[in-house]
Amino acid sequence: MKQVVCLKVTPKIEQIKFDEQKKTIIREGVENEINDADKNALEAALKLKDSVGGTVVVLSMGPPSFEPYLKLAVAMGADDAVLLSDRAFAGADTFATSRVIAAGIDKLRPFDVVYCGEASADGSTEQVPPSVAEWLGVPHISYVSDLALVGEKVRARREITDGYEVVEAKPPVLVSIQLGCNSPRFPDFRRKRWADKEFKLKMLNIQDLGFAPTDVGLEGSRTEVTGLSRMRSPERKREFINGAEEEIAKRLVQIVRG
Amino acid sequence: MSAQVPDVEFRRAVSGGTAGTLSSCYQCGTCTAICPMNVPIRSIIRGAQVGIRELAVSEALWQCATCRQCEVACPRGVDITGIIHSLREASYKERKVPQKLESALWRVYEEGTAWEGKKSDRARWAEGLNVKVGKQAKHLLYLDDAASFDPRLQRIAHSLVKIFNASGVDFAILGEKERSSGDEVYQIGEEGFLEELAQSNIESFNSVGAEDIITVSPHSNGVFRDVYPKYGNIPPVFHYTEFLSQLLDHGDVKPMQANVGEGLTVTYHDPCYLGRYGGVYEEPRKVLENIPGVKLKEMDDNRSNALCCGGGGGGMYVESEGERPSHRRVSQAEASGASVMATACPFCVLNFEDGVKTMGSSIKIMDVAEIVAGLVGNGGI
Amino acid sequence: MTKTGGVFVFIEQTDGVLEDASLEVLGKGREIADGLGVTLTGAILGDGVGELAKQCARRGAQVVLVADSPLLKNFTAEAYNNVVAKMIKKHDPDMLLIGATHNGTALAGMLAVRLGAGLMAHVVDLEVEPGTGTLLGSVPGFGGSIVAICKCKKGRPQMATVRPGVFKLPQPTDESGSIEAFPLDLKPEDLRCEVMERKIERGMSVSKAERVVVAGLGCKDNLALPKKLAEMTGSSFGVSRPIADKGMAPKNIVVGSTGSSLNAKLAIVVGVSGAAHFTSGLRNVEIVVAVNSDPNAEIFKHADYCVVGDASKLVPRLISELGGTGGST
Repeated sequence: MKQVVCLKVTPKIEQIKFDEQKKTIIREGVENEINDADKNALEAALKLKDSVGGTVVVLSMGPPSFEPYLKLAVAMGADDAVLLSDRAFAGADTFATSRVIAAGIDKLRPFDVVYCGEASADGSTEQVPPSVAEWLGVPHISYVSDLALVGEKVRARREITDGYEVVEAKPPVLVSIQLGCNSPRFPDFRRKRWADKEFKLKMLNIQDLGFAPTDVGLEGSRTEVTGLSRMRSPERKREFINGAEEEIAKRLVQIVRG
Repeated sequence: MSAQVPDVEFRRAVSGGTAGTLSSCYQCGTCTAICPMNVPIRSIIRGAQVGIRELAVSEALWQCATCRQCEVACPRGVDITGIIHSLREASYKERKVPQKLESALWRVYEEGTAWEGKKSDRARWAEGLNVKVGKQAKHLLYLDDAASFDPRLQRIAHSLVKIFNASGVDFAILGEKERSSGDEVYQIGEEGFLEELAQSNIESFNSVGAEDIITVSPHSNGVFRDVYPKYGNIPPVFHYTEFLSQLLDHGDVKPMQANVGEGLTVTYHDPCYLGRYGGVYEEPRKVLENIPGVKLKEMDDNRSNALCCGGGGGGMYVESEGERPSHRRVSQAEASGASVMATACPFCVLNFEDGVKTMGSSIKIMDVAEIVAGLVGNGGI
Repeated sequence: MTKTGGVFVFIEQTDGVLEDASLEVLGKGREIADGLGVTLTGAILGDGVGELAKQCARRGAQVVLVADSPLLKNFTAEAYNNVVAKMIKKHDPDMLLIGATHNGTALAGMLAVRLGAGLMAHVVDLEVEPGTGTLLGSVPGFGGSIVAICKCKKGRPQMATVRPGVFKLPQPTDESGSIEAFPLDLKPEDLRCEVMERKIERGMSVSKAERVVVAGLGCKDNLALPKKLAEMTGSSFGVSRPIADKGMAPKNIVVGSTGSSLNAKLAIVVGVSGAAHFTSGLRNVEIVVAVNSDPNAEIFKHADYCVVGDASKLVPRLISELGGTGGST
């Protein structure tokens, strides 16, 4: 059983600041972390590996500074790590991103299950997993909270609006994992020390993946951003209701009753 | 039940972590009878003694608040919390740990706090206050996670700042650079990360060049005093009640107005990690008695017999089973006739306030610092 | 992009019920189509959806393409992708809009690649650039605090998925539209995913409700109180994301950037700190009442009436003022 887990390294959202003058996002000094949903995805893969064996490879698209995060994933139990890295990949929208990621996964064939987190904390478009599945030509089961191998098929519990489904598919298949559906295992720090010192991840660039600059990154994107703004909240009254509990309650009832 | 082969390696590993007192236990069961968290201590120890993993590495391990009430009662001086800890380490290696504690571990790693909160918000409690951040000072005030993030507990920090400034104490805080003491990391039985965290914290502390560290939470004391020395040289650590008591001893405080504490009847609850762990019983009482007019009443089961609130050993993150131990303590506080139960631990404050809420009691829960700070401006501490 | 190929809206149905998210998009789609002087086409897939097609027409679709097959009874991304892609290739619309439900989002991601099209995800607003016919989507990011105005620069059609609850449900009219069957050549072997079991539990969706009580972490895991308050005020009950992440409430009642936008007249928000990803869901609420024990809580910046206090004391008080028995803990 060969499993591939896509990881995104995202900025800590609460540290992001917005420059009102230049209308740009200030990223300097913002710390990164592994996207939470991708941790759940990795945990799901490791859990399956615990029960049926095989290998787990983590894969990411990003600059070389993503390396420590991939090593953290190895410390959690992944067997190998691949970083798709090239200046040309930068500025990609979900179309161009998913294309590059799919090409990286393609090099790892034959694989059985590909995992993605359902969404990233920064973009949160939820579009990369289905797009990657389409590039790879494999079925996609989305919003999976649990999965197992039953016979030769993958059986997944899929959360949908107002309910759930149980879906089966024969590998190879791509699953996107629901945020918070499991408890990601804490890294083994002994393994982390080894990974930090000795483990070498594989880096693939634009030539390795056989792309032209127009296929990837900003150039290869199908959408573009024409402007940014702070989410404008309607002007709120911000009227504080003070006093004893009883008085507050009475005032609130007035508001509720209109 | 079929005969089981003892796991000798397992027994040796657990025994090693307890300096050999594992074999002293003669299974009298006093520990189990007295345990406020209903942990089946006797059978867990039996499992460890005989080498039956399933009996020892049980889910009940995580109900233990590490309060040491069992150790006080044990006629043989068995290092019971040491045994529990060794077993937790074994349990952690098998990944048999409560999910909430595992998420707390990640939070400490990524956000520097076990308590819910974001790294960049850590120093928000100090905004607008007259506090030195990260600079050289005589004393380093260390908050740890709960007091940094929880709005209720931030009031304790605010109180201490008020008291220190009024008394001319030269202190600094680490601010956003402060990281978790790692108590929860230790309690879950994780060693690799704890080592890194401890070493990084020790470096951080030494960078302020302070003579000592003053803590808000006795749980910080516990891990700094008992665990950190293994990883480096940490400056001397005092709980703030010890520090305030020292200030009183040195006469470094202005006397309070007469009868400023008139009408205040207080009963003091000894937090487990300050009392049984730290041996600090009289200092908080001295600080309270120093307030002119205040009446101090003792509850049943005080000092080394104090009843645990249930918060230690990771207890703030794990749902407890059975009656909440804090309820019994609140009843005792009410019975003492006091209007205020004073304590000196953030976890105790939260647990007892929850207890008061649930029981509909009229007793007020306050941290010692809050009581004193409330009276500052009526003549210093 | 001045070619007027019309506006397409994918309309999702689940077990014979049209998704509100799709109808909301249909309403907006009609507004856009009318503005451009083009046709609005709805695409509906399922098994025995003739009646639903008529409903789509009544809600604004001037043409409804119907793909009817037992193989399409339950949504599978693969089958729906195949069919909708064929529809698009045949009819070549200028724009394709999809409600960002779980299924809609999964479908859109595959379609965009199949068609080589630009896709703006989870938009909270849509506008047409005057003169060019270019669709402009407001895409929230970074937890919802920042909005990017996006457009498609390459590919066709211009695609967008729309966050549920952002646009209002169109009122039904007596329009009957033109309903056309879309020819299919689906075979069971084409479906590589099989739905073995499904369970649906429909409650009142928070994005539709006129009143909502939302509970956050400040309720200290006691949801019985805010639920009772919801009951007493005739409100739907919603939660902030962390409550659902803790498994204490289903995700379909989460309010915020990853959940639903509220369109309520009144929202009572209890014990929520007010991080950007949550408050973005309050934008369309007429009156926001916030209760939080922290006087500096961010939520107060997004509320009309602010109460600093302990929810566990205030909510029971409010409940009894409203005539209920003091809430249980």
